[in-house]
Amino acid sequence: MGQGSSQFTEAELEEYQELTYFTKKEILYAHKRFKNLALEKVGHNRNAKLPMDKLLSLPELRANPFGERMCLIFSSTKDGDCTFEDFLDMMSVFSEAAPKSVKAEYAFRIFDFDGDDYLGRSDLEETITKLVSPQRFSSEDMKALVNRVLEEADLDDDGMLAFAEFEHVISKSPDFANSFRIRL
Amino acid sequence: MASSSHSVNFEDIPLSSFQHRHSGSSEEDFSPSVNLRRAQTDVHLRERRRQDSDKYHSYGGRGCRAQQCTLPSRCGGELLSSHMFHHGRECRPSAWYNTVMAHRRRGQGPNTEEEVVDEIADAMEGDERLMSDNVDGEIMRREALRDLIKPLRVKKEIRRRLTARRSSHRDSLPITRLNGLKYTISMQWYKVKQSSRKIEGTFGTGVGSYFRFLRYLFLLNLAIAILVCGFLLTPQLLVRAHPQQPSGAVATPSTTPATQTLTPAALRVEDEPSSSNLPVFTWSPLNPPANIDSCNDSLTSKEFGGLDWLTGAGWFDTTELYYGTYSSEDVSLAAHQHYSMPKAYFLVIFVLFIIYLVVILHRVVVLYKNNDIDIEHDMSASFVRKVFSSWDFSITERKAADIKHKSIYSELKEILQEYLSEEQEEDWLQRAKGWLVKVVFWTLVLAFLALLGWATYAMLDLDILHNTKSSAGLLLYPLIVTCIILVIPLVFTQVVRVEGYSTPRTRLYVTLVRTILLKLTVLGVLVGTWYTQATSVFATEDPKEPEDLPVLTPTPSDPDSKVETEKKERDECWETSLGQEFYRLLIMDFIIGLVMHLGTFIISLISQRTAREFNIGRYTVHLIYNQTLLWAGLFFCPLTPLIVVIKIVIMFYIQKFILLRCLNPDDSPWRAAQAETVYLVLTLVSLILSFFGYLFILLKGKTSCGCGPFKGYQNYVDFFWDIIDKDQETILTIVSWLFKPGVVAGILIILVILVYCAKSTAEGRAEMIKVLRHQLELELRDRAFLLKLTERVRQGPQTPREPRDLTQRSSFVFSDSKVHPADSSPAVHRFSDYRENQSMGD
Repeated sequence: MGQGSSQFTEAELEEYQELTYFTKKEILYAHKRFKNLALEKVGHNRNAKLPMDKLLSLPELRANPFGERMCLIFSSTKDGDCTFEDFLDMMSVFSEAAPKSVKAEYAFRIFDFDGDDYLGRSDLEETITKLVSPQRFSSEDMKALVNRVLEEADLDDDGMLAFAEFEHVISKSPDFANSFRIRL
Repeated sequence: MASSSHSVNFEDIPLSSFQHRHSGSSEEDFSPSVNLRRAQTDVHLRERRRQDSDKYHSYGGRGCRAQQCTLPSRCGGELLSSHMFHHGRECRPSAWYNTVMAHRRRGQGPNTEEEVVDEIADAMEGDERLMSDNVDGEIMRREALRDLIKPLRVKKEIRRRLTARRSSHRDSLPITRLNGLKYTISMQWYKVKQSSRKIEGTFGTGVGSYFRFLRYLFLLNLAIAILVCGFLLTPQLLVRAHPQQPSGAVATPSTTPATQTLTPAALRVEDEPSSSNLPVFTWSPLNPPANIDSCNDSLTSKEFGGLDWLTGAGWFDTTELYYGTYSSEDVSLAAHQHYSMPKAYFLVIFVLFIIYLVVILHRVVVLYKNNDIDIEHDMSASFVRKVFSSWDFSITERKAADIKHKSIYSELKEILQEYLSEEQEEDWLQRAKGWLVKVVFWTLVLAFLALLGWATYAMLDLDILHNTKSSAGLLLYPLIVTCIILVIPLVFTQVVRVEGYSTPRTRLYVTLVRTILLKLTVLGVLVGTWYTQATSVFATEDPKEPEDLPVLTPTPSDPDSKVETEKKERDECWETSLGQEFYRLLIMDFIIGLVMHLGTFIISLISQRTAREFNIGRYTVHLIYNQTLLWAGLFFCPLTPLIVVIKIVIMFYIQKFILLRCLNPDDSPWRAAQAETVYLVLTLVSLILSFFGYLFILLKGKTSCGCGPFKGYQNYVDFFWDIIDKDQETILTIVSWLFKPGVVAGILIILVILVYCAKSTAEGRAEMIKVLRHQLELELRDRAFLLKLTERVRQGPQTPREPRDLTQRSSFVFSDSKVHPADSSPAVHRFSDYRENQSMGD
């Protein structure tokens, strides 16, 4: 009998399976990885809340420029600390089985740094800055880039991207679903 | 649409965080409509702050962390959005969704988590279809819940509600011991399956896709290899072990002059020295069969030599590796059951091809559907694409992440430069020059390929190669061919840089096409020459009397003739010698691959600086080449799938090791989605080409009548005639029925109609997509226009009521969350445009 499986009941697994894009074994595996982040804490209480820096020690999040954003968005307390359910939620959205529209929704939130439900210029700039992190664009280049992005995607000319516009433009990018994926 | 406008909290109106608005407002000049929008937001905010400062928030942005933040659920429609479109079969919103939206539109949005749960759960309970007790309802419920864009906790709560309503009791037993074991085991297996995860983490999705392609081919070939072993190898071994007593005459082809029997054979157990692609137990008859077809004459005389592993000649001739060894007998399974080897041989090869074709075609279609369908040539979103989907979330290594950062930076820089330089138009002279260069280079490359083809042909004709009696001589030109195939693509990749193709992707595809052309040319010339040479020997002689072999035609396909008689016999079995050529090509390719990897490894050991990159394109093309060899050689050397499977396994581990140990990720952009489709299409092309090759051989080719399952027939076609002759009645009726004009016309008409229908629906859908896209854009423009209108009204004499609804998130997908002014308010009646819009919206 696996260690990881003892912390759940069959019904709970069933429940998680129904609510996420994972199968039971993937859920158990996810829990194992979550547990390995803080063995004692999670071993004690399987739904323990881990602080953000603990979560960021996960290689998938550590190497990711948006790792912090992901924690913040999926954290149920909004401070970046995640319980196992939050973690499972995150992994489920990034799993292979999750549909593109769900991914797009969360991608939008990740890129929406100021949380105003629009990707404004500052959001775009921040996204680009994070993408190229050690390198920097000059302010003119950055401005030109943001202008180009808005020109392509901003259909209603309000200088920012609403979710619908974002999704519209994401639908043109076949690589999105491929790249917006974490293999557990 | 009754709405109590004054006292209601519009919880679902998304708000910008106040602080940010101030910090960001000085940044740039927005269009007037935006300014208006912002003003409205601010007005709105102020009022709301008065009411309850804790209630608005945003989901975890910078500004929000300081505030008390509640749910991400406060927003309206878009948070539930995926219900709208991602179910292919059902594109309209479901009833419960409409309930929720209507509820929110009335302004009764939820404030707390409990309220969200209440709201959605109530709405779902009200939806009859969703709550129906049948399987459909169950599935719909599951999907609705799973796709809900809410935190897991909320979903769980809603689910509990729904299930509590439906069945009051659920068992909460802990996992049973058995199930626990099952999960643990399947978890281990899951980990094994994810073995390429580390590669993907370090090298990104591109390299990952190469390894997935590798694994796909491996599984496919493994299945095929098992089929071959099951239906060809096993019966053949049985034939050898228990040779038919003279009763075999039942199925002996009528054209064979005498009954053929294999004399009892003894079991010779070979201890295989190394990784073997051959059965451990091999059979070789002790006594040469006393037959006029003296195919097996020299079988016993061949000793197993060390180089045989490389040449595939010598001892291997006697094994089941090649066509020539397969018996033309029947295996009797039960009293009256016979397993006809020739039929089996033919059917298995045929079925294998069909399987390959169907499987790969299916995969191509699936990939194409997922990836390519409506983004071909749509370059209108290149910047957006780069910004929003260039980060590969599967990267887990710091180093890889750094490289990715760098490559994204240079890519963005590149397309920016390109865009800026696009502004000044190229004059036609320059463009013509560019075209000229490309045309010249293409001609050069094609000429070079033609030359290469001729050179290959000439090389095969050279006597020097064939006069060498040693097996090393045999290996010479597989070696040359493999080197050509490995080296020239490198030249192509350099050449293509000079030509001035604008995007790296075009460069990649051009190189790809050229490389494939190269491989096809070389392989085509090789196989063509071998075939003509082998059969030309036949054409000049009477197959009944193989003794008087004409001397005037050199027998180039047979370089290792040790004895004159053996030479004769080998020529008779041109299929076997062709099979050997394929075997040698495969092995040579393998060895050179090994050497190259070893070289990479040593270089990386010597110099710490690892500058080499994993070029996915080249590796993939190489894989396709391998696969082409497999297909081309399948008929002549039926065990090729087995060889290729072993080869792929070894290569997989070696490449994985080398990759993780010594190579750097390729920093050139890699569009995994499309490239994968392209590769599969190329694989398909090579499959179809080899299929046509076989078709040609089957229809026109002559068998070597001394050996193989079709022993005794002059042409392959004869075999079919024979079958038809034997079973004349049934087959003739079927055939004659099939070829009745009425039937043929009927089939044709049905096909034409089907194709026509498919094509017109496809066109119709494409048209529809275009129209809908256009409509989306128009709707947004409408919105902007309306906003402007309101602004004009605001500047008019009356100060209208706050048009708070206009601050809703623009969501052109959902008519529900569009502008819905409170129609009871007096202010609205002044906007005639509003009312029009509203009636349109509903």
